[in-house]
Amino acid sequence: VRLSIDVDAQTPEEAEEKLFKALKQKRANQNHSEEFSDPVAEDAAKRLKSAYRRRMNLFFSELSELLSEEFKK
Amino acid sequence: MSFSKDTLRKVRELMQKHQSSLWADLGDAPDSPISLIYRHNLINEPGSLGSPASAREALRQQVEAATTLSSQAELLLETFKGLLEKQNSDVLASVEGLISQANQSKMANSDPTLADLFSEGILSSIKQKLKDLTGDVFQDWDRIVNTEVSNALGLGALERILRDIGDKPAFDTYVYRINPNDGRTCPECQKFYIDSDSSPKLYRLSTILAYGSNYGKPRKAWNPVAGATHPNCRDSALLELKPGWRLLPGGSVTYIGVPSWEAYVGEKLEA
Repeated sequence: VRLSIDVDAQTPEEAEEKLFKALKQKRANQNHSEEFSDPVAEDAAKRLKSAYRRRMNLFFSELSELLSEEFKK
Repeated sequence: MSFSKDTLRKVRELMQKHQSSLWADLGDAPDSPISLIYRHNLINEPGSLGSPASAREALRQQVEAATTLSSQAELLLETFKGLLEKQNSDVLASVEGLISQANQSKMANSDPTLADLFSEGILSSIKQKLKDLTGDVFQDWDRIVNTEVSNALGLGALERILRDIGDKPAFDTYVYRINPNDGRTCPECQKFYIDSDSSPKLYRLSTILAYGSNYGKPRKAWNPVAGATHPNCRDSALLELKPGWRLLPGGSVTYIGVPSWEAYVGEKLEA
């Protein structure tokens, strides 16, 4: 079997480490074939995560302002 | 310069306002993403031809199919709502802790000439702690989402399999899950779902039903289940192995014919 993987590294040790990780990732991708990934679940999970982040970022920003004002009273 | 009781009331009101918006965005049945995932797995077998490729397509399909929420899906939504409320009540408790710490620090400084400088320090420390808290809160939320999505897809698939098999006994129905089998796979999922030849482990559906859920159980009491095996679970939904098919490494299947299938299943269950 001939396998070609390009890695960007400064030293042979770093190249070896990166090659090992790339091989592991390649193997993982082959094992978990794409036909079993669920784009609907991934899409919905992204929506659940991003909506929460948006809302809570707003909460923390308003909270920071509120605490600054209240502390100065 | 310190926080009063009125500050706590305002903080709680602020949280309440954002929590209501969050629930409207994320949890309201029947359009919650959690319901969408559950019903998608109730309608479609993962990886099947014609299965929707996005949440938008799945929603269109569900509107056309006019599916309603089952009691299991309603239970999932209730659990999700409870987790969202608990998450935000934990955030509130942390913020109240910060306020109390700030007041204690303020009281500890009795030198009036340094009051302004000291207050600036406290405010700057509060802002940094809020920033740190934000990171922790998002990490916790991602874990909750990953786990609940895993529950929704697993339990939706389970309901579909039970509906499909009709009167056939769960004892004679065989199921499996596909695991990414990469560097992040935990030892439990490896043990539960991957055989020594790297093909998925096979279970009788009755076994999976008997194990119920791992929710609230310590790690050593976990079992292979239809929902999330553990927090942050990445296993596939439950899949049925139809008569005549054999599992291959990585989770694909090949047809071996019904006559030799029973012997294969017998060996696989004992492995």
